[in-house]
Amino acid sequence: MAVSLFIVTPLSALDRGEEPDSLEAAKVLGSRERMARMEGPVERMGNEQIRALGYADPGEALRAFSGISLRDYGGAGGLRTVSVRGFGAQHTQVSVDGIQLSDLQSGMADLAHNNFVKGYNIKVSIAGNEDIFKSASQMVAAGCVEMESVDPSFEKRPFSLGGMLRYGSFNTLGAQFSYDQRLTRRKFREEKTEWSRGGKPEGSREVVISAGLDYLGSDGDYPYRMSGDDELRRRAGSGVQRLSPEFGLKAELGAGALRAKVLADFAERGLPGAAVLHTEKATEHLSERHCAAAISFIGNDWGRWRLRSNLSWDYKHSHWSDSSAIYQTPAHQDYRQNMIMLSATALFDAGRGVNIAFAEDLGVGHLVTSLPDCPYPTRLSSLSAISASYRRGIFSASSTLAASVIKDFVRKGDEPALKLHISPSFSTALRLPKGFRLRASLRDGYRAPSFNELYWTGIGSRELLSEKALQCNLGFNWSYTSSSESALNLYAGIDAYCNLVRDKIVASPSLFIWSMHNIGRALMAGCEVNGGGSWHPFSARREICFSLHCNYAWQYAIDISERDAANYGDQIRYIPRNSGSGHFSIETPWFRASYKLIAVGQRWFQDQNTPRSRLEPYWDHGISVGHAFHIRGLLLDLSFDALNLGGRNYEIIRSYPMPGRQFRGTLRLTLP
Amino acid sequence: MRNLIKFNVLLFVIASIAASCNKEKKEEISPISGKGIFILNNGNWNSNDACISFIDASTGATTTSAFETVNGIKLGDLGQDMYKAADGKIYIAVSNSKTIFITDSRLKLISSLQLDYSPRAFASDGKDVYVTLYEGYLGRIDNNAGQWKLSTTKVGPNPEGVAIADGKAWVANSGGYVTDGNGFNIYNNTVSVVDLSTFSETSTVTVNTNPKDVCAFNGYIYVSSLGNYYDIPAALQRIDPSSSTVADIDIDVPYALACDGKRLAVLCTGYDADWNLIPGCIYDIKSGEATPELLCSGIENAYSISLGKDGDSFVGTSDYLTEGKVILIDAEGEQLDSFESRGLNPIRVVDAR
Repeated sequence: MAVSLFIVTPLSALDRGEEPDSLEAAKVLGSRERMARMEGPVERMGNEQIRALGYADPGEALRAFSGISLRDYGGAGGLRTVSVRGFGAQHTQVSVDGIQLSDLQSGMADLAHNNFVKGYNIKVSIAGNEDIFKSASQMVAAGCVEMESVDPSFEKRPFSLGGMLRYGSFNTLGAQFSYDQRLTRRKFREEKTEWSRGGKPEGSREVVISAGLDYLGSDGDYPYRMSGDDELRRRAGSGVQRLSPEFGLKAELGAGALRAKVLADFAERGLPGAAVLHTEKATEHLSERHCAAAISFIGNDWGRWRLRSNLSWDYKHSHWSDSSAIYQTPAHQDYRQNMIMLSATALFDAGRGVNIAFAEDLGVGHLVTSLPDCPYPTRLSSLSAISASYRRGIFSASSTLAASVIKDFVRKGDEPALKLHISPSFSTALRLPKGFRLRASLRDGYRAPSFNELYWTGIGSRELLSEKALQCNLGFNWSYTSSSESALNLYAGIDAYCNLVRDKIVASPSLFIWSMHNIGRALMAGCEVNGGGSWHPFSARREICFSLHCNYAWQYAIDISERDAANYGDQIRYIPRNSGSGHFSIETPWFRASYKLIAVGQRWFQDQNTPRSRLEPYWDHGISVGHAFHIRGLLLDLSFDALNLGGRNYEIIRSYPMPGRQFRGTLRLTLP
Repeated sequence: MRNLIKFNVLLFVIASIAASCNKEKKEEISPISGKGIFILNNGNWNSNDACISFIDASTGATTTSAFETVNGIKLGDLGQDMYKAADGKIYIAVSNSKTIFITDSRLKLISSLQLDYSPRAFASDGKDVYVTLYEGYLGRIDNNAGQWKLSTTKVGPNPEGVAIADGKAWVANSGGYVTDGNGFNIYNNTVSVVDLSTFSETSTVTVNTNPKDVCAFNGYIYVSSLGNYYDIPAALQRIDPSSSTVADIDIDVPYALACDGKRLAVLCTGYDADWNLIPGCIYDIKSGEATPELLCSGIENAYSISLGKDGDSFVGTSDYLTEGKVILIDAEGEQLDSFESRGLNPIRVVDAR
């Protein structure tokens, strides 16, 4: 049973524009009622599919999503940020198990900083949609990346053990261990019979505690060759050692679910910096200490009310040092940040298809740095949103009005003015016959300046306003499910969008002073096309499945800040005008295999688009093969991935060559 | 038969297109002939985009990335200085790539010195070429029977400019990367005096904070310093080499110096009291004279200065984000011409006669 569960669920699961609560539901229900409405583009990838496609973690898998650009500086454990549709990474909200990842200093969530002991399902939604049961910050972000951990099953015993061992090129070793224990008053056997009858018993009470450990070690010294250099070099000084333990508690209570999590992350890594032609340097080092704790509650069964709330604390300390001989004595910098966030959303079902949600996010954050003249800023923020949604028959619409107040307090210098921002949004969807759907959304978002932009000694500017982002999206999609037990699922969609960023925060350099100003304006227009499907060719052997997904994005993202500037109308740096990705996979009871491809057109690394600031197009493709089988009640899953088969050291970021051809093998053990 | 004729015509068309393409390519490959100028573009830090443009004086045509075109390799990161020695060889300091390229007068690579140091600025006594190294050294580039090598001697922290006169090198110690325990910059304020016969530092002279460019002219050593960008302003000073006494020269916001035997040009630009950028202007000190004279003013985004023949000046302009220009100004202060730099931050112009 477990084998078939393992194999059947995954690969057809990258369903765009559909809204089942879980991937299993997507497949099992195939419910048209639920699929019909999605007022903005939503893309998902399930944990099993992430594994089948050979992605080591959810962060890596985000590269396959359309409209997403992942800033990857290469190497294991390096900074990785995600942005949608040409917006800066600060406009993207990333959450793991409902807890927002954030960084006060840069304003960007770093995916490399997370612990991914468990499997995760990923959902990326852009430009808002009718799901109003979410946090206020998710309602105003230009894009949301949500990762939800997959719970272990307790089918055979009240505990579950999992382990993973991965070894790959450049002496990269990954190891994970997880233990989940179900604490329950009732006897295990009784429940098993109830479970086998289908689903959990009504009003079941279940408490699960878990512990996990994630380790990553890598020399990271991959060979690379850059155009314009005559030598093959090694990426020196990019080794990483990371250890992150995690403890969790999950309680299914009658009226809802309570979840608590404590995690820590300790990392020591070399910062190879930019790969500079004709020389090698390995003088920078970063030590990071990260602790976080969160407790959340989701109440689904309170009459007409649903409630979700979340309290989290996050502490980060990073210590940077550089032993370069340019400094007379080695340079050091310390950064410490502390954040507490409280988020609550209450949804009221007013009947007749009308839902109303009230959401409030409160945050307090503090930053201490060793930079000269550090003002020790503290930020208090409040974001309130009221939303309403309506669904009736083939029509749905929703609207949100959010108000944010941000006030920073500093110990030195002038205090920035209080920032108030109102962001309205509206979205609607219409279900047409034969599986077609039409959707449209309009929203006015913003992002507050980060602490670096405001207070970085000598560069930051305390007069900065929030950056505003107007987004509109028009989409059309189609899906088809054959009547013969979902033997064939097909989907296709097209979304066109137009975004305008005002008061864009840009660093404007001059003689010997760089400073931050709200002088930028950017226009983004684009189009995303996607399509794919899954096919079970044999009704007798449902485990055999073929699936295919392709997407293509055209992004016209230009700078329109200053009409007289040499870069007026030029494509914004690092945003490709053309990009696409695709993957194809086969699942059988005997093996699974997949092929994936990402192709990205030319980009520019400067504001001005010249032949000298051009980055070459690249494509990255890889294969993955694997098989899952049982030995004495133990579920083993072996997989082998070959990445970047082309072997080219392409650059996503200028002077940061990516590793060439790599191989890795992964063994997963589960005692279900 | 008709098909064969058609096929032949097609072949001919393809061949001629191919030939014309080849021709164009060939012209691109050996473009550096005749008179003109080389523009060294500093580039953006960590972008590996330092490059040299060649402007043909007769046609006005620009060859972009000329060094790469000639040698098949890129310059690297932060092209800091380019110097043409008396024997016609061109020395190129690529600071962040820690490399000195030595080429012939047509940029054909003779040797590349890959160093453990970041080269900043060149000067020569007519015999050897010297280079400041940001790690706190002055280097001498020696050529022993075709073997190029660098010997070094310790000077102050983060040296920038260097000038040579009467067997001594004068090195500006900026201290741009020296910080105190609290992370504040402690700029240096000394000029190291290096005796070239023993190749060792013999003394230091105290000048204004953060010295940058040094020129030996009129029997004096001129030093421009940038101050601490806060309460100590930029200044131009003159060292008397015999007594090591320092005298201030009254000039506002001096930024860069360039000199030949006939004149010393001072490019002035900086900020006023309200932190507004002051447009660039050039002051000239003529041979045998002491007071600076205004040559021209109102140069937007002035960034660098180099001298040409017959009293010409080349001023590089940059907004640090887009490619700049090089403005040619004659001895009367008239703007004669302006060239696109085809690279970021044009920092040095060298005559390519």
